[in-house]
Amino acid sequence: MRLIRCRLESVRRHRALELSFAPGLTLVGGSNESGKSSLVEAMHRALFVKATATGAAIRDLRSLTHAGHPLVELDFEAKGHRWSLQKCFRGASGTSRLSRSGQEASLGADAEDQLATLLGVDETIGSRQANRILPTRWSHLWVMQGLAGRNLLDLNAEYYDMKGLIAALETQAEESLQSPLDQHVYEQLESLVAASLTSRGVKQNSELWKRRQELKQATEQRNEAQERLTAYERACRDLDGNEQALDDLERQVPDLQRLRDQHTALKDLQQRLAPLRLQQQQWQQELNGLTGLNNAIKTAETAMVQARRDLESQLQASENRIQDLKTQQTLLDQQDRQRQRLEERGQFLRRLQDQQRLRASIDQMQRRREQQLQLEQQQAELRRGLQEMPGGDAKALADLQAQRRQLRELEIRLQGMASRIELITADLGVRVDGESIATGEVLQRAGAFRVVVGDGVEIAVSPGEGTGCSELIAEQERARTQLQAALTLWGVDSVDAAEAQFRSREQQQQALSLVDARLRQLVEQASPSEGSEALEKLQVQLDSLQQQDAALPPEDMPGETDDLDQSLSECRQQYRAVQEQLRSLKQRLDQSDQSHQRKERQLQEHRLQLERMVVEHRQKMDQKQAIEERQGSPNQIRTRLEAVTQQCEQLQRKLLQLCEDSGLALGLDASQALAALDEREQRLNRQLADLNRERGALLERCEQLGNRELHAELEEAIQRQEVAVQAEQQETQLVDARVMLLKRFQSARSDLSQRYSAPLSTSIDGFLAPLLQESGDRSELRFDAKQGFSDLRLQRSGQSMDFAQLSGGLKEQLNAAVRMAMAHTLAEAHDGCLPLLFDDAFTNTDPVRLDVVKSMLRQAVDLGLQVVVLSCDPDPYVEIADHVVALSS
Amino acid sequence: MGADRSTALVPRILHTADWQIGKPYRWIDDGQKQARLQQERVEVVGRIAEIVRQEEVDVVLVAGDLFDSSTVPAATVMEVLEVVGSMSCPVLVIPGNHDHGGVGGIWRREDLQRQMQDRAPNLQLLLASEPVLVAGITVLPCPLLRQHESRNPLLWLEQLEWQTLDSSAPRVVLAHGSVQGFGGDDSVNRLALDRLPSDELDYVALGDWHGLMSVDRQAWYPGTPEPDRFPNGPDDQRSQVLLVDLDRGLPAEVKPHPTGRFQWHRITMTLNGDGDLARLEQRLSDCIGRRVGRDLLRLELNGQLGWSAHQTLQDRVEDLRQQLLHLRLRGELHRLPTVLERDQFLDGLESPLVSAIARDLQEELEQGIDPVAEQALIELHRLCAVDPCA
Repeated sequence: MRLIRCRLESVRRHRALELSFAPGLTLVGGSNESGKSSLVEAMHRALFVKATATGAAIRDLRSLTHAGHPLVELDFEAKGHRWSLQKCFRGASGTSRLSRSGQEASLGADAEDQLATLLGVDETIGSRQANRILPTRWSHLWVMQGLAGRNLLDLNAEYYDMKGLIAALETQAEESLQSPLDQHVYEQLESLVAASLTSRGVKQNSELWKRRQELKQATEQRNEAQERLTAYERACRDLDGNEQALDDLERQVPDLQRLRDQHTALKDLQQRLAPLRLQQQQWQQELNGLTGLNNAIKTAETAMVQARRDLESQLQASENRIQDLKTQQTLLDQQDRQRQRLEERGQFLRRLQDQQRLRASIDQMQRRREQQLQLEQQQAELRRGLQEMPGGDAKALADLQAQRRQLRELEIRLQGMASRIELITADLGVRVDGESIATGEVLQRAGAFRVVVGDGVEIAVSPGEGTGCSELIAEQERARTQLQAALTLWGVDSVDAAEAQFRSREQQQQALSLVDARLRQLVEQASPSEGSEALEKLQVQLDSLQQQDAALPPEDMPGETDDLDQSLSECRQQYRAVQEQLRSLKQRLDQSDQSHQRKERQLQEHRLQLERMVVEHRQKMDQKQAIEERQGSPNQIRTRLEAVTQQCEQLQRKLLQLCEDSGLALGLDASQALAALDEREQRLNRQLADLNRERGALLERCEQLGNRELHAELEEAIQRQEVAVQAEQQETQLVDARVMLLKRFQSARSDLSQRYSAPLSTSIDGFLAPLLQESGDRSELRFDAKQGFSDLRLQRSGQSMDFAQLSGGLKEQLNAAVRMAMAHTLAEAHDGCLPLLFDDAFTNTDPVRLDVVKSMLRQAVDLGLQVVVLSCDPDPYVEIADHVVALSS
Repeated sequence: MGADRSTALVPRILHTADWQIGKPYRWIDDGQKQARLQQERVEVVGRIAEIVRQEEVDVVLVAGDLFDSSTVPAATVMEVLEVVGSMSCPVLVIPGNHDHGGVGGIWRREDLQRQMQDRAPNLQLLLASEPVLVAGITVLPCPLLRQHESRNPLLWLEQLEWQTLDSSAPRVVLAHGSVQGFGGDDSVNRLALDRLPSDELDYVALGDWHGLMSVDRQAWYPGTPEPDRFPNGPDDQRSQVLLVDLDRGLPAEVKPHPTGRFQWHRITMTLNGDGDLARLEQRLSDCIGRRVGRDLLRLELNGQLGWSAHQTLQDRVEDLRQQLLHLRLRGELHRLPTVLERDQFLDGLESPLVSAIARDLQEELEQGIDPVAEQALIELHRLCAVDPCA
């Protein structure tokens, strides 16, 4: 399809405009408001909108300045012929005319249909579709003003003739990508799946939905049937249970009656037996009482006889005991008398002993007095000697000794300070202080001395003043004087004599001390009473003792002291023996006495006991008499008792028989048991009534439920459910299979997408070649069988960029390349050519890039495509244009 | 048997059970066929009556479940009682679990009691657990008075004073329920046979188990006289009554006598090719032959067939549905085109996508069974076949 000529009348600012198109590149230049876009829109509407269409799209073409309806004439080549199209847009009365050279023109609707066929579209657009569909037409070929930056592949497939593209790509492919059968099967599958499923699940009223509904219903019916059957069976079971319970209860009724009869009989017997037993007991008691009484009387009598006999023998024994006691007492008295005698003799012997002792004491006291007198004499002598002796005590002696030591020290010091004169050799006599000195003799001189050698030589030697020798000599003199004075006091001429005198004094002192000590000892030995008075007192005592015993016979007087002691000891032994015998006798007597007392008390008790027995015996006799008067003789009572016992035994036998037969306990309280039975019977009756009521309800329920063939219904429901399950499974499987097929088709077709998108992409890259510098640079797009082409991207310098991310200029260039590639792909179905139109489509392209654009445009022309460029700045394109049209404003 | 028994010394009983008259067969979808099966259960009683006549039976013992439920239609009740009434000997019946003698059971139905008196005076319904002397036989009935009896119905026999029974008359226990090792529920309607003094008994006539079975030398289940279920195996015999000659103290002489008319078959096969189809055909021929409307078949087919073989089988199954009283299909039979079929399908098919998908599916199915993939391949084949362009 190639545009040849266009003429406009009364289209917006154009009153009349005519221009021709080069087969290659036509440049339409014109400043703003020169009507470039009006030209494009008029041609677009003429090609795709019915002449009779109304509405904004058509109104829009009308001229405000020129009279008449918009008229568009367009000459073009298509399907091997040249065609002339004329459309006058005047609303519903618009006209269209399409003519082929040398052929009769088509008019109106025919013209429109023919035009649509030539353009490869379904139909030309009516008023209503204009707004929606018009922008989609040839938008893959023509870039309208202001839309150069819009991504064509973001729009739906209508905008770029996807079907045409696919068909073209299919025909270009080496092998068939998809056959009509594939397409047909795919469409069938799509519609089959869509008939069964929606995006939300199973589609209502679809076969699968129906099968599922049927299955649900069948399952519900089965459950209901099952429930009915279960309910029926439960009701029947309950009824069975009820009947069983009723049966059990009813079976209890005769048992209860039997029990009642037995209990009643038992009660009757027990009631009859009770008073008889009472009477029997009473008679028995009376009889027992009487018999007991008789026995007791007899026993008491025997006991009394025995007691009397015992008492007599005890009395005899008592008298014997008294006699015996008396004898013992006599013996005791004798013994006591002997004891007294012995005691008196002992006292006498002790007095004798006292006399002897007193005499010894008096002797001793006299001896001690003499000794004392002697000692006192010695003491006086010693004291006198001591007083006469000169000298002082130990201290005075020590002072004396100190004075002597001091004198000696002074002499030693004087000797130390003295000059030593030793005569070594002398041929002359030498004298010191007049005293001659022999050879080898040594002299010492304190102070100045004179040495005379021979007679002609006299030497005076004087010690120096500093030695103090003269002081020492003076001190020595003083000391000697003091010592001499002290010695004078002592009455001796030397200290040694003073010391001897001091020792003699001390010896005398010691002798005095010894005498003092012995005196003190004597004084101490003498008791305080040991004075003359005491001595006299002792003498008096002795005299009194001697007088006491003067009356005693002389043979009793023991001679010596030893004899006296022995006599006394013997006497004591005898006394002790007698005393012991006496105590023993007394003890025996006491025991006998106590025993006698005890026996006497027992005797008294026996006497009392006997008295009591007599009284009791009398009472029992009275009692017996009273009973016999009241009840008769024991024989009479016995006869009556036997009769009652017989009656009791009869009744007891009956009772035993009853208990044995009925299994009742012998000691059962029949009244109480009967009351319990009454209660049990009442309970039973209540239970029976309840069960009967329940039975009625259950029977009704069973009958109501059992009217239906429940087992059969369940069987049928199960069968129906099985069928429904099978049908549902089959349908589900079928739908699943279809879904599986559809998915596989889609997957296979999406594999094909590569085979569709690749040639188109390659074609785009061909046009963009000057912009793709690196080897990996290329355009990218994706094909999806359902969605069509999408995801247009450009990979440059290793970076893949989405269309939206590209710069404005690059968007224009990529857009142009996409359209050129599509036009190139589609051209074959259109006699190898399609017109590309760019209305101010490179306004963002810089001058450098514009060269690239121009080369792209030339490339398109070289590939046989027709290109129309409209620009307000036409100059850059002039050099590539085959034909230039300038529109004046 | 069948000989003149007028001089016979020992009594002969016909032991049967589980007639289950009125069994609805509601799982059979065809109403007509359902009715025929129902009717046959009455018909078989007629055949039993014929055996009674021919074999000169002294007494018929029905060991429970004469009726299927309490809701058997009155007409059916009437019909079966008429046939029972035609038998020339006493017919002793105990209630079983399906027709228990308790409240809600069929034997309490007023119409049945009336019809029994009117049409079958020889039918003695034994509801009491006490000895019954009839035709020289002491029958010891153990009736079920409720559907689920947890007590041992034979309990009363454990307390029976056997010396009080006629010492010359053979003794037959008549009971319904399962015995140890047979039957279902462990606690319900359980019969404790081992507690009975076997020396005091001559025969135990049991009911409830639908196949012929001898529990021991003297205890038998006769099975149902007309089958009502597909057999579980070759030993599962379901079409007979037992003729039993009894002599006190001697072993009972038991002989099964066939009574069934309809035949129930069970065929299980694995099909993997035309050869198997031929074998199946042979089995069908052996079982059913040319009979029409008298057989029921449970056919379980597994394996895998080609499309055309499968179609052949489908056609045969359709025929069988008509020929049989009922056909129950079970099993998993898969369809996978043979190599030839696949080639025929794909060769000359100018559709690259269909071809590729079909090949993939075929390969997957050869690897392992997937019903969905199998269905998908069939569906693909169908869609291509209906396509006008193909």
